Amino acid sequence: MNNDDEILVDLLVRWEELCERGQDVSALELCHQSPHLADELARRISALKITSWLDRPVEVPVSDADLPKSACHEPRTLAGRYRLDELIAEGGYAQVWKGFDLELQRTVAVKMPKPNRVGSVEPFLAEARKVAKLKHPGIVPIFDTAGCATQVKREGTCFLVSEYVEGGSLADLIRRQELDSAVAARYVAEVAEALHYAHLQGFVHRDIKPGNILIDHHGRALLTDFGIAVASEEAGDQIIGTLRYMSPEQLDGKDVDARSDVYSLGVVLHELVTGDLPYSSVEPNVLRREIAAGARIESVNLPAELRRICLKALERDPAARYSSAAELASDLRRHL
Amino acid sequence: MLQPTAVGTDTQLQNLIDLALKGDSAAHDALLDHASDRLLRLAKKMFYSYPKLRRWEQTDDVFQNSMVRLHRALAKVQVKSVRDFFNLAARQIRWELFDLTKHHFGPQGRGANHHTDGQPADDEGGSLHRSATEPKDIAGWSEYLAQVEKLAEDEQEIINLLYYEGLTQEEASRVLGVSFRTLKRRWQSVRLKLYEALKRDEQ
Repeated sequence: MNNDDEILVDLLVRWEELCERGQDVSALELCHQSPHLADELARRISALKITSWLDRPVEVPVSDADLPKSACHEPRTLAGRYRLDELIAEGGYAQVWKGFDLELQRTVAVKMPKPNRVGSVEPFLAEARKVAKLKHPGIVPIFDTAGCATQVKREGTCFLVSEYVEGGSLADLIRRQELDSAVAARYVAEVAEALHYAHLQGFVHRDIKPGNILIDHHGRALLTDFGIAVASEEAGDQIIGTLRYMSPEQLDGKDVDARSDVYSLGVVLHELVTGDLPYSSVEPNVLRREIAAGARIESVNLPAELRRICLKALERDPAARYSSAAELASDLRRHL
Repeated sequence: MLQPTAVGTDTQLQNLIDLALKGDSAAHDALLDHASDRLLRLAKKMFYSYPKLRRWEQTDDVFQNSMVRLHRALAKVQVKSVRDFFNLAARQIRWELFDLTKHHFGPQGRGANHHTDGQPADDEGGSLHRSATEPKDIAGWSEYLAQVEKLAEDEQEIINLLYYEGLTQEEASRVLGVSFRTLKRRWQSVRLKLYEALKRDEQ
């Protein structure tokens, strides 16, 4: 650094110190002893002013009120057949609409990626093709899909049509009312049986949670949304799923198998019976730590037998858990 | 329990460092929480103006992968010094921000060009938008992030502490063990260098 550079660096610090005291001095004033440096100093001051955003606290909008509403389409009909009537669920990546099949004159559920969701088409079609093979009374059946490229291009999106389950999700239900522990255990047993069937077909669900368990008008629990089970095949190191219900090995990015779903179902069981997760907080930073350390079952609202079942489903070590969802279902059935 | 906000106030920061060095897990957790909060805050700021993300809203869903990976990378780190920890955390934060731009906004969309080495690719991200003012779009952020990666390690360290970790200049000078005035000179130098790199198309 030559002498002029040294002077410039000192003058620049001096300029900033004066600015911090509220004095806006010009380059010329600062350079009165070295006027030949005034232009260069002025240029550097200008550069520092332009990059001053790096010096300010990072502020983000605290309210979403000024954001555009989430993609609400005008009423429309897909493939000339499925009329979209009401948006009933929305996550980070997809929307579920209550729709009406104009041909068969029945209510259906239509799932589609959120508008402009880049790269969502293929996972959707893959989900449709694979889940269509799952036939079990405890799994929401797929009726139809916009499954060819031409159709996707015409509609501007892809979609997946499935049975519309009137009763809503278990998440809705527990928001409205407390569940009797025997009813909760029966729901979980039913889901575990459906899950076992899916496991035998080679699926790991990876996103077991109350929002993906629907209750039909007979009061029967049905499992839905195998999107992640399919998408995860090519997900690489993406962590997908819902944090609150993740198993420790899923959080840790390890390979998961059926026992990871058993863990998630254990979290659901605990929540249905006690009203709380088996963790002390839902704050993500704390939750991530607690999941990694393994669930703690401390609630006094858990009947002894269900406590034992939860403990086994929620073992941190997959090898210590129920080895299959069927085992969990059997244990719950014995309790009922 | 120590709260994440404990980081950022001078005396408490020093206490936290001392505790973390002695193996206090709560202090380590507080540093980890601070890094997670910084990542979320920076990511939200970066993507806020991006219409696609605004429509997706539920940003926690979109950023979950990054948050979990950051947690995973830092949770097992043994704190040798607060300087090391901040540098590691800030580097992870920078890489995760890159990853977000690529996964969600890169030329091939989600899952495309997933980088694993943390090195930005100059020709990706569609960025021809150069300006040293605060970026207004994802192309601008992408360019800014790429230029930060090109800085020398000691220059990156300054920006890690002041921008990515959100420390004050006083705190950063203590972490680095240099005088306040030296810190100021180095910080100005980093900003001038970034300005030169980013201004090409500004005028």
